[in-house]
Amino acid sequence: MIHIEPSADRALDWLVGHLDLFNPMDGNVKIQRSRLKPLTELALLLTCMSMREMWQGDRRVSVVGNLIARTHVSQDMRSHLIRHTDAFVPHVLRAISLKQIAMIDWDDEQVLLQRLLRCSNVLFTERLPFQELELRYALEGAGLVHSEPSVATLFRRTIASHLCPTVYMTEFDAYTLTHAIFYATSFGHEPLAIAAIQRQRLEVALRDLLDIYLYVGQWDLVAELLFACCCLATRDSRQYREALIALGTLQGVDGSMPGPAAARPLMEHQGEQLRERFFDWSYHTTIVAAMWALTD
Amino acid sequence: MPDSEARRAIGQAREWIRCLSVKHVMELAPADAMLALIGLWLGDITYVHKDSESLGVVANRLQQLLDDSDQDTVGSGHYDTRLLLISDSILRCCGQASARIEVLARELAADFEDLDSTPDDYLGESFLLSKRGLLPRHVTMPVDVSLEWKIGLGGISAQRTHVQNLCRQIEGATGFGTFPIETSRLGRVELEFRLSQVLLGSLHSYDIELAAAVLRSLVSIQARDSRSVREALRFLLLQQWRDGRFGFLSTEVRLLAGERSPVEPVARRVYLQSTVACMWAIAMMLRDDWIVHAVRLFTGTEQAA
Repeated sequence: MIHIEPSADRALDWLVGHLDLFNPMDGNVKIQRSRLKPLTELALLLTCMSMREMWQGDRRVSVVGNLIARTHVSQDMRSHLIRHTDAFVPHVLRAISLKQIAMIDWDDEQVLLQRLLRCSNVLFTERLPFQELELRYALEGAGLVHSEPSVATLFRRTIASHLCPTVYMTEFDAYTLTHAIFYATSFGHEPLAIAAIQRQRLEVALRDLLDIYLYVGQWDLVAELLFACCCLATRDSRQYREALIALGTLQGVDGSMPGPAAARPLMEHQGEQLRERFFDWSYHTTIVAAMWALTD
Repeated sequence: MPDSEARRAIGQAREWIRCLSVKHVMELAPADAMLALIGLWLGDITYVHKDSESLGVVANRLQQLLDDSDQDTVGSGHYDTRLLLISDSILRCCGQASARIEVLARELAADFEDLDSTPDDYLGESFLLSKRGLLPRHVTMPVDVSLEWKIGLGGISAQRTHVQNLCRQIEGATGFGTFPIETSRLGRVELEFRLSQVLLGSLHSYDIELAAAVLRSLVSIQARDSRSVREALRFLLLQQWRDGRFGFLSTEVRLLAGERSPVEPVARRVYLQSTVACMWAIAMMLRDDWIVHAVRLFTGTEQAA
């Protein structure tokens, strides 16, 4: 059966069916750092779900929340947080998701985070402009005291405010653009206060980028761009509708979404190895498509 | 973008083809000679400094190559029939009609007359044959844009052949951009949308030849002033080397050449293809020049410089 648009329900089923691969502690003495990024992205999805009434009683919210909570309080993860300053922002993003579903002792956590903020290099380390927005989003979400510039000021420093013709934009540029929009709009929960002309340019760039990545079959970016359009409340374009139909058509019966066509895992892998490769390829598109489906 | 910049770029490209043709005339394969001939002609119609000498040199070589090849090779689909017919038109304006192509053209015209309708991707040939008086009239038909694009894992780029066929249909349906396309307003909007999408995607994928073909199609359907066309033109102009050829394609050349040695014939073919494709697209942007000279060429009234 062909679905017109991607289904959040089926995407969530697939994600929950692969929770073991999100777990950085699964059967290992040391933390698997490669799994921290997927886990943090899963936490962002959890935050989005927690803000939608219809998902609040969903069994999968507590299943995902349990995994994040279990890893969050482990001694290894605490050590990781203290010893690696680049662990701060992802840690806060995971903490926010747990706060949203009341699965964390927030008072203790907030004291710890505020102390780390004061006594570490978190506020001084160099970041790309979209990462500054990410930091601000995390600090605000955790209710921490900070003196970061406003969203508008930070947004003006990102590629979203300095657009070049899209044919020259790299995949990295496209990712930084979508992430700037995600964090500046709190994943579609806050309106973006920008001038009409700038909004128009941004909308044109998003449409052009959708054209490009629909052409090359980079489904991960197609999902990101679709969600970015949704965050900007700019859904009225043919590219948006085409992207929706494409992702809906390509969603697997198990709920997974394809990653970039060019990076498709080789079918010569077998068993658990194939499952892991397929997970690495699919999980990000699946999470972003689910975020889109929850927000739209 | 000012016209002078486009003319200068075509002039430089013409110079590259001229040098290559003079230096390697005896090494040119028939397909290379056809491309060189078309490139030199494109240079002559758009660039102020014309010279008929190099056009004559390449025309002689092509004539010789065609005379040396047997009729079966010329007529067996070994070469792009469109390029053959256009090359023949240029040969004619140099006073060197090719008997081999003449036979092919007559056979093709007879085949078309036996058919109820011309196949969509042979509309260009049908147009060229009708202009030569070998077909009673050129029947254009609306380009089928209602055709749904298949959604697949590889994206639209997986349907590259389909895009090329669409461009060929548009060439035929507009007489290579010399008259407007017969389609509804909605059909034209649909075409412009789909072609602009492919244009951006192919430029991003550095598929210069396809981008140039799509650009020509967009100009042919009167979308010359659209934002994507303007951006694409600027992008193509940036792909020119100082020596005049277009495309930064050393990786493609290496891949195509493989273990073969020498690499030069492969490089010559690759750069001739990309350079002529870009020249053609840029020349079509200089609308008046293109229409005047293309009409003269196809009707046999064009004269070499």
